[in-house]
Amino acid sequence: MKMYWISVAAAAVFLAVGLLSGSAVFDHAKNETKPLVSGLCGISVEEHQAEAVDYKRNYVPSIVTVGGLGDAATAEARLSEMKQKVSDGTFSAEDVCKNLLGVFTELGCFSAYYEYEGMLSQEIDGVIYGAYVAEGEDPIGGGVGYSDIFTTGDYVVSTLAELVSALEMAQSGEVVFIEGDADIDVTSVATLQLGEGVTLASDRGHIREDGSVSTGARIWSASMTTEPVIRAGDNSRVSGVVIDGRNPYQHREHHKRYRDGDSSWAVTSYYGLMVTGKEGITAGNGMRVDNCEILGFGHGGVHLPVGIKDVRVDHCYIHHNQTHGLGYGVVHNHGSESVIEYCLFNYNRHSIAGTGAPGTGYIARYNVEMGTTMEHCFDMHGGSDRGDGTNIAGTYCEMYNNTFLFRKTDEYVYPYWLRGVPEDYQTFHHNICVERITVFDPDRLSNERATLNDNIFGGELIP
Amino acid sequence: MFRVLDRYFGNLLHLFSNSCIMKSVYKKHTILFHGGYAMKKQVLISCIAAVVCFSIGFGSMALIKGGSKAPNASGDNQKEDVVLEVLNQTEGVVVTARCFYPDYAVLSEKMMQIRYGLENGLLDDKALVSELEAAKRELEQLGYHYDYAGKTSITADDGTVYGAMDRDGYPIAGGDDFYEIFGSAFYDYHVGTDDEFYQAVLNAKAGDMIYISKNAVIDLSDLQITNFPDLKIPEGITIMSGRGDEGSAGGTLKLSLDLAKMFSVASNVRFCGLVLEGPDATTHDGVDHYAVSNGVELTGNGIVIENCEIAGFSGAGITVSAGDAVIRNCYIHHIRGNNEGNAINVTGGKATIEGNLFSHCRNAVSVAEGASAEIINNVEVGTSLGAVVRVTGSAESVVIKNNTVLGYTQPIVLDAAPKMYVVENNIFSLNDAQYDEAGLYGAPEIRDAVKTGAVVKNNVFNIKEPYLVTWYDASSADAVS
Repeated sequence: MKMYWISVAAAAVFLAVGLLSGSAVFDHAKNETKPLVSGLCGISVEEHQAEAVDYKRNYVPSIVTVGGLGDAATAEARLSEMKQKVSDGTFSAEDVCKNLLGVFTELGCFSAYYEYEGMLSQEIDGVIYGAYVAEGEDPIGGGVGYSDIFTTGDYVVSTLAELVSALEMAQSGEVVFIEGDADIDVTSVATLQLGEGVTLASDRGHIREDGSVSTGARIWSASMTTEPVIRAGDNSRVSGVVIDGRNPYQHREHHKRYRDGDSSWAVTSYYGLMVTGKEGITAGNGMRVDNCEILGFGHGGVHLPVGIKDVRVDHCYIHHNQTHGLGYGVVHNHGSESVIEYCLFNYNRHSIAGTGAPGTGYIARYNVEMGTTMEHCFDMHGGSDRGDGTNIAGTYCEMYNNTFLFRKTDEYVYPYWLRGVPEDYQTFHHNICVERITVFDPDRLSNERATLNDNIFGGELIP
Repeated sequence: MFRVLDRYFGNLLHLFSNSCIMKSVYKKHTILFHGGYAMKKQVLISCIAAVVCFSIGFGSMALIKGGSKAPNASGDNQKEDVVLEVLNQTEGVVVTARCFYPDYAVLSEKMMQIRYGLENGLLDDKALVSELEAAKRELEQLGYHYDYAGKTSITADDGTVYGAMDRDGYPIAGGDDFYEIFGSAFYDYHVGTDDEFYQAVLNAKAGDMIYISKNAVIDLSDLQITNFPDLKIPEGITIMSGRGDEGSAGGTLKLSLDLAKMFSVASNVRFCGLVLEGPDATTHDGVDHYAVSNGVELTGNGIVIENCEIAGFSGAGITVSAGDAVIRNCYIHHIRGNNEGNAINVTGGKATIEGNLFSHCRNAVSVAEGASAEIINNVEVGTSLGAVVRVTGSAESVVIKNNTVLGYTQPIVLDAAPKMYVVENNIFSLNDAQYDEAGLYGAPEIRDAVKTGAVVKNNVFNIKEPYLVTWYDASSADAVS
């Protein structure tokens, strides 16, 4: 009986202590997990629900890109400013639209493209100037609307091991398809070997069932060597893939140290920085590169080695290949030839270049320079560049129906720049350049075998 | 009446004993109560009565004070899982930053959708502000910071502070409230290019200050490859910029290429108010072999890194390999490479890590065998891919105090037992049962070793309806080894 009274008394005391102590921590056991009541107040969060909006539609980008090279800090600042000004009532819907396009352009590095989208060509008296596609044809730069998008292949892969294995097994005529959402780091193998007649494909521009758009599988390499990411055999094809060299930078200071010697640092060789010599695709004869995005290569996105012929690069978006002193979108070594058409170019040092050795030539047509270039867009080196004692700037070069959206921000920024005399001819006609012709040195635009006629410069038709 | 009480308390005791038997984690209590019940039934009944009464009293008080639901004091963790969602979807937060890693496709689509909505008259001003904030968040990626910025601590009635809080002059993540902001002034060296930076570092003497222009982005990659593969910042110099000065994010030292290390750092060097930016914010999930990039390696004594932003390395942002270092009031984010991704990797020496904001790292802090770390007053926004603190080897000392772990991130993973393990006064967002117990207290095979040097007490679980958990206190007189 006595014990019960003790029990009750103890219970009463504990009850009182419990009531009075509130947040006091009770635990003194030390051996195992023991959650205890503490009486602590939770942190209250003010709920601010986002406004309900109902304007969802399937967004179809006119430039299909993995993006991500723009200045995100500026974009963030501009979005913050927009939000503030709309809240203050100092920004109209029109202001926001304009600014959003600006941020979109900044982030995507689209330069002047969206300013001129829909006005990339002009028809005067039944003659079309600038880059255009006939209705129903494949869009410039590929992507959504491209008619030849792969969605499967003889081998379907999504990892590096599968890709390497499939490429080893694939025979001429077969397709190695990389699933569109794959992101394959090939750094550890340095170079993928693409066999003769084999197609490596992904689905850039494919609209999935959920309405989203595939950017195509990305193959990328961070290796610090001059090895190409893809070494392609004759008659092979790369289609619908993103090839990223992860070096979208200009390396201007490095170039200055090497070239001008105005630093105390001794740079023994420009190629001391191996990554400057890196290539995306080293092409074989008869190769086709189409519907691809190619970016971030110090030397060239697509490189045609000595004597390689009949290469076609079409419907690609080629950008951010801009290492100073090199930095080419498509580059032709001695005696190689290609056709480059329906491509978007931006942020290259030269979008197209050639060593200019005898036998070298290209046709560039229906391409758009989106507005940012370090130097002249289309190039053919002369004899002085090669130091071979000649004045030869390639055998031929045809440039027609291209559109150049750059402004002349630098003395070396030109649509093209004559560095010698072609063995046969060079032509530049039916192009549009948003800059006036008077800002360019005429000696850089024509010579005895290089003609300049029937183009629009600064809105004016120049016969 | 007494018979009723006897039966009532006796049944309670029986139930309690059974519940203890069923739960292995309470086995020591079970043994205690079994023995007691056999010998002194009445005494045990008294205790149970006391516990019940105390619970009633305490629970009532909790309801009175906080309005929160009293958790189950028996420790069976049968609470409903904490479900967190960001409630503040429209008000922005300010973190001084220069590096952003949005999902480009998502963000660009968002902006074009807004534009489409405006052009078609589908958005009023209120909805537009809301949508612009959504776009901004896609850029910033600050997780649960949108809800809890400035509200990451709880102060109990007795004045005890749980979780992290801004301290005067030392705000979490630094920024314009940091105690020392560097504007334009005269310094020993004022640099804006890689050439100038390397020249300054090579010529600077202890006590010199190198100021990086606020808008400069200095890429160290090229000269590192061609001339200075193993640059070491010499003893006693300060490298600073103007993070927080009139909205500036500070000058940037950058590695644009995937190089193994930015540079190493000798004793008594101080970094203040700048950005250390790496080349690679990707996760490399599923890839074992890739080019791992790292930030700075601290190898001396008395090194301080404060009010800096550190981001974009796949390996480690900061490696402390020897000596002692303080890393405080920094914003450290997007360091998350597969099998790597440690914002701060303490492989040797001692690191004091205080007042930082962590976001999108694999592990915020990793502590290896023989190393020591004091991790105090930091906030993790709920976006770690691994653990906030990972102990990979038998560390000398790991002290984790007054941190706040938001979201669903596992706060701690013990791969090995530290010799000293103090976890105290932290806030962990979820219920204790929602976390991996083997992570917090060690797997069964190392649990005893963990206990040897453990003081794991008074940590708040459940940020919505908080309660304290004490696991073990080796320093206590009645600790049972």
